[in-house]
Amino acid sequence: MHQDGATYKSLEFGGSYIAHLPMHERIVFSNMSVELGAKCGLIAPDEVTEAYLMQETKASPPLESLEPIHPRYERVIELDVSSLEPLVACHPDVDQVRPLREVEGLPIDQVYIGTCTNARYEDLAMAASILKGRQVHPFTRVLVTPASQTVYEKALANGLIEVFLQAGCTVNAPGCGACIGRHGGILAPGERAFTTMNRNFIGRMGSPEAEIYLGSPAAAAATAIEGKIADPRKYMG
Amino acid sequence: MGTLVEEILSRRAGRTVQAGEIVLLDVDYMMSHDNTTPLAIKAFREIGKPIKDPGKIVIHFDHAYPAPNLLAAENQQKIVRFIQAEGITHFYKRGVCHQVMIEEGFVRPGGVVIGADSHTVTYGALGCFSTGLGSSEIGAAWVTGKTWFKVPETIFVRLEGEARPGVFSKDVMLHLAGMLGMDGATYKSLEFGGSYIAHLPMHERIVFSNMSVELGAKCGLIAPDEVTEAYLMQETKASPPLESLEPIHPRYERVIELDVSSLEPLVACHPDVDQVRPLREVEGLPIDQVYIGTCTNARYEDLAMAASILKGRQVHPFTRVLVTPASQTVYEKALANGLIEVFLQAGCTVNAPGCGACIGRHGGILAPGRSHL
Repeated sequence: MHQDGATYKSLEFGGSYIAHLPMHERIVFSNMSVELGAKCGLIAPDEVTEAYLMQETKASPPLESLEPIHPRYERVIELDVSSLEPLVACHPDVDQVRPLREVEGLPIDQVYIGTCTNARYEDLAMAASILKGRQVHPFTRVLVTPASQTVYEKALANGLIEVFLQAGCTVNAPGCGACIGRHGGILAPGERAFTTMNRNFIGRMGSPEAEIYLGSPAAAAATAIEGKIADPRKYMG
Repeated sequence: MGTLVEEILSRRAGRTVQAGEIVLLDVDYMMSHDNTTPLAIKAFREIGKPIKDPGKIVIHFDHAYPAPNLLAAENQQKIVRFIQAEGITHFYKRGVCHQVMIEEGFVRPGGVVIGADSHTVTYGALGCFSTGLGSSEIGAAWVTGKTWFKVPETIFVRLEGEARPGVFSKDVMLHLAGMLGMDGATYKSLEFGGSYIAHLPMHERIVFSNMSVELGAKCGLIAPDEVTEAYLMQETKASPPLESLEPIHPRYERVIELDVSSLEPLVACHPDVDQVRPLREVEGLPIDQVYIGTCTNARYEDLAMAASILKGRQVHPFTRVLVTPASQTVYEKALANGLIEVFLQAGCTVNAPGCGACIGRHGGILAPGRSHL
């Protein structure tokens, strides 16, 4: 759809894939809808929403029920996700998307697992499951920044922080961290980062001569181990 | 023969040396970090000769890591390229250089370590002669494996008695700073001893050596004993056998005697380390930021003490409270023992190990008119 594919539109996500998707993965769609220019990115609340709000947040009942009623959509996009493979958004734009295998092996100076896109507990748990018992590449900086103090505490209680430290990651205080190029992991000219962020435009993380690649927490963890873009599937299950 | 510093330097020189002499010595390790390595590289390149032994070079990223700005990022990039090109294997991103030097076994009784950082004096607590030099001196030492010193005179600080509850080695050291002043030990070796030191655990001893440079000292030494040996064997990667070492018929320039049992909690006030006053005199002064960190006081036991006070309590809502463990190893131990959980639940911000807010480059910069403890 490209970066202007949904300018001032509401992106509404649905279908059987969404219905079965846990909240931490649903949030990625809404979070990144603005990368396509959207005004908002909505998912109709269901029992997953309710369970999440009641168990993981301080929201109090009763919750409103809500669904589209006789909607008139400007456009309907259909996609069967079963045809997809791991993807990477390449330097210098979020819509420069290629199969991970096509960029596999590209050397990476910094891996950043963090941000509002992909640093929730389950994201960290996925990354930790790959990093457990392994060491990150000695010349790749691997930064883990939990999305919040609450995420940090849960990760701590479940041993994830220990896994990251033992693997040689740098665990930072919760916050936006390196994503906005203001502190905690600035890129030098010619450096290349692989991150779980939502945008990768030129200069986002420091030098305008640096490159940013976007992918999943699992891909970031695999890349951290090898020091170059790596397919996470070989480290999974 | 002589004071502790004379004894260490004599052994290294292979002859008896005394205060005032100039000695040229082999060093065990040459330490530098992300702030100082670029200048060392510059001096090294100007000399234009090869590194004598890359195995003696230890480089840390701790002062501004991960890089908080483009300049730091570019400097670190240059250093990494240098490390790769020169085959330097001792490269650490595990926290404050001085803590990591001790943990990783670079520090031993009788050792001689130089570093491009003033707090290199820290290792004196383990009976190692260590001192901070300019970055260009470090770059030169990479080529020769040696450096020169004038053997310092020694001020012996005899600390006796038992500290009252709530009085730590930090308070004792601040008292000494207030007493001697910031130039009270310029180019001297401060040698700490007495019954207070003999019973002091290593994490508290380190404070004396670490802060000796605040009084201008060249080094701050404590004779190694069974506490030193147990610490090195249990808490670090140093391997036996360890050298025995003590002052032999020392001739001290000056001896300072202090009964620590008379001391109360102290604070060094703005704007100098020797502006020391009893804490009760400044009690109630509003504080915008509390920082528990640095090479002085962010070891496991320091964090455990802080956590024992914070447990089940909340920090003040308008005071930023930053906790930065001295090293990744300290962080892991704090984690395993529930301290990090205590800090988070109390509302502290726990930062990645390193120098953190101490050097004013990232992670807790103060606005004008703000107070900090």
